[in-house]
Amino acid sequence: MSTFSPTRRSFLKDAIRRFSQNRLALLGLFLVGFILFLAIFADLLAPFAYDRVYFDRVLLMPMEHPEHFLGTDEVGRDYLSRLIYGARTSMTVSLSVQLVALIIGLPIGALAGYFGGVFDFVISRIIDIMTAFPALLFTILIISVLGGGMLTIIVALSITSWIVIARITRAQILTLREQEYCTAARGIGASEWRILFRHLLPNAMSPILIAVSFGIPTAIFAEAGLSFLGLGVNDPIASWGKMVGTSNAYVRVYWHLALLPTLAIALTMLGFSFLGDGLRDALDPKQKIRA
Amino acid sequence: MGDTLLEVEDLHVHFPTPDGVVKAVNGISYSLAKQEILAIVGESGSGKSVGVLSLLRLIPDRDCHLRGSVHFEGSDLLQLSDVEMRELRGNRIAMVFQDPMTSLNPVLRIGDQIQESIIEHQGISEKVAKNRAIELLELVGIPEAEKRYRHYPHQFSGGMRQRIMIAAGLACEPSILIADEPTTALDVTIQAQIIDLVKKLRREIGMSVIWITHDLGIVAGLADRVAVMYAGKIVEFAPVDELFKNPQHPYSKGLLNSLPRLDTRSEEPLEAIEGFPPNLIDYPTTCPFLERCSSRTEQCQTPPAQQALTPSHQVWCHHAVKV
Amino acid sequence: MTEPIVQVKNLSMHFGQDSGFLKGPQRVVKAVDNVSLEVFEGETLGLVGESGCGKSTLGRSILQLYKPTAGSVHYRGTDLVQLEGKALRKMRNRFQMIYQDPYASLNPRMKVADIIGEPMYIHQLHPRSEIRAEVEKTLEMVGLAREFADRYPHEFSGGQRQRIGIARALAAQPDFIVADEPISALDVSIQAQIINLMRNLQSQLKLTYLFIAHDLAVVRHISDRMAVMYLGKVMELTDSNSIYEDPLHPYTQSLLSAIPIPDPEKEREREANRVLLEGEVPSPENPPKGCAFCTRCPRKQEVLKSKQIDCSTQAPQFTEAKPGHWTACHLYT
Repeated sequence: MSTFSPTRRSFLKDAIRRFSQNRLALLGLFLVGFILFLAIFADLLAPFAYDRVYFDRVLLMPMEHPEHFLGTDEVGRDYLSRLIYGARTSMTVSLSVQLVALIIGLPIGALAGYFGGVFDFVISRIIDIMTAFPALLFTILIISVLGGGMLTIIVALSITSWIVIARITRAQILTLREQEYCTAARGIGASEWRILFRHLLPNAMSPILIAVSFGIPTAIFAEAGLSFLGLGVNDPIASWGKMVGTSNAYVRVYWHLALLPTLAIALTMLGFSFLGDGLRDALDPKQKIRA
Repeated sequence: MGDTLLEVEDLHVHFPTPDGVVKAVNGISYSLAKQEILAIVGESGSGKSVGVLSLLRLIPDRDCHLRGSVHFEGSDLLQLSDVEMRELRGNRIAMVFQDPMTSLNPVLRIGDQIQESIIEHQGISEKVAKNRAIELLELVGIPEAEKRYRHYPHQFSGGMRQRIMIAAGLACEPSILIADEPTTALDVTIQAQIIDLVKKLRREIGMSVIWITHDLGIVAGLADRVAVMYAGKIVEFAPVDELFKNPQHPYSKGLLNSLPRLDTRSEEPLEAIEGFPPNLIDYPTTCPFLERCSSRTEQCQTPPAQQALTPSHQVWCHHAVKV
Repeated sequence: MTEPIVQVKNLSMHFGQDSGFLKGPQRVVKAVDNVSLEVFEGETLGLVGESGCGKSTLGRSILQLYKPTAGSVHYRGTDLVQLEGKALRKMRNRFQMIYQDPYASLNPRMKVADIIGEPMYIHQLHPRSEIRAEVEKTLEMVGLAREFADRYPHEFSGGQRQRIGIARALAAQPDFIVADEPISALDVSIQAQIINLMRNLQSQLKLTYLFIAHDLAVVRHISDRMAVMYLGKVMELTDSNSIYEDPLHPYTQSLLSAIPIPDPEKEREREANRVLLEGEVPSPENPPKGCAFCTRCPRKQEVLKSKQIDCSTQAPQFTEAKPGHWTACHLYT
């Protein structure tokens, strides 16, 4: 019904209103904000450095020692500090991966979708092949060639995740290209580049943003998984996945070594999922596209 | 015209939304006689569709507030339970919508879709129902009905699908057919076929029709009586000849004058109605047409009451002239 | 009449001709098939037909929004079909389009000022500092307030949006405008506003219109001459009065009799001798061999008897049956 006379509200304000009425989304935003805060200010917040080793305080239970609120690990490092620095690792890896994915995927997807032709054919086949290939195997392959370390992980995960962004961007541009306002832009003599940048990309941004917000927890999980397998970041850098992995041998007695980082991963994942759901509902109220 | 079949009294339909309550229908009353074709004319947002859909309670109760009464075959439709209402819909009252593609289930053969309501409401065997369905398809002018019975909706054109919708609507010999802009999506030559079909059905099986439309041209050739709606209210109600010859509400006059006519051509500009319909959330306390009316006076600050110019011609305007 | 501003010769727009790599053969849809017509300076040529007859496609191929598959479109002597890329883009401000859907044709993320200012900016029609003032002037020309410049399209009703669409077209300073069903998405009371606006602008700015619509009454009101299309072909072309008073083609005749007139007495009169067309429009993928209208034509037998011509195998030529009155039917050859 087009009856409800013109309202004075911009798209962004409308989206913000929808978002702020969504309690789960707000909870997600709070969780994500908290983790980001930990990651950024880890140096100030953590009671100890992540690699500070106390040989005399190995494998303490939480509360056992007044200086180590959450106990220590098998080599005598403060577990609370390791958890806080773990947030930094998770965030660095996941945000960098999505950033790289965006930088590579967005232009490739946009160009393929807009200009079509041979370039689109090649890109589409690459996307098909990469989608058919299990991403984890591919990542492990790259890491075993390049060796471990945070940079390698970021590179390896980026190679698989730009595909998602490129696919969504391409699909968006393909649909938007057929919109009447795009024809109208051609009709007034706008150049191809102008149409792409002024008319298509701004309208394609919502689903892409949503895809990125769902891509972050995927990357967090991938990093944790790789570190758990021992293919991730190198010692002494703290990583939640690695913390769960190395706790394997002691977990029957020192349960906190596995439980606490698992909890941290779970909370972060949950936060990003709620945030992503909220963003999707706020930015894309009509379609419920799952990225 | 014969006996009254349906009587709507003081119907209100309001929708609560985050921005406020949308007052879509604000106290409309009308009756429908046996074998009568009643046209409800209005623009988008006038409440013409909502006012009729809500009779059949097709809008979920939680989304809207209904007030008033709707008498049909001895009961008040607004008081019926959901089960009783379902029994009535498609059985005693049938509906045809604007878009024939979305109203038909794309994965079911059309024959089965027509049969479904017959078996559901009349409890007869599948074989009898099938023969009846084929009869109906022939009645609405589908060639080779026996063969087409097995086809799926996508195998028919828009006009044919609308015929099928009408056939499905007629399956249980309803006493009322409600048609919500059934020809708006169709071409004029196909529209002429459908209008012809509805007139034939009225003659042959004696059903009553409520035809919702924005097109005054269709109304002229089809309806017996016309209700003109504006901003959720009926502003004028008259037999069709009377309305076109002697329109009394400034809105009805405006609509008729703003239409370019095929049979006359003048260099004069059309008499457009300036402005836009009022906001239905912030509903005016004055006459709803006040802002766009060229003959407004002080009196129009209060909403006008019904005036009967003749027993059959009612107008809601302070300035209507008795003949 | 004066000079033709647009000359369309043997224009065809066939879709799906080049089948993509690895996609197999595709069927060809002849949306516009061998159409020739002229639009004269200062006139309004109406183009009518039912959905799928190719009238919108014809409008768009004239403006090179689709690249025609054959034929030529001369605009003031230049063949637009031969122009490519930048040369074509540079000329685009001279001929503009008004679109059917006032919702889809405005970019939802752009402010009204940017939408209307864009053609001015692209074609450097004004110094950059004056664009804002020009946008406001254009808004007033189409009957909208200056303040609307800072709003987004979704804040407006359909009629207001259509005015914005018209303002965007005017901003390019064109002399030829194709209006593609500009009022069919609007409410009846708003339609008259837009028609009056377009007529006023035409006399003020000396515009030439190609006015596409399915509503014959509206087209008759606004046009000087009218062309009737069916299945990608022009069936009849003459001045607007003759189309109604002396329709020659059987299709035009039945189309006219199918259109309801808002007058109950007249309708009852007309009902008696209404020609109801049987069946539906054939698919443009597989049009009839002979005359496009032969599958539904009520006068086919007449042609066979009087002229010994089988309409279903022999296509009629588009000929001048009376001075200035063209039609494609064997009855008049």
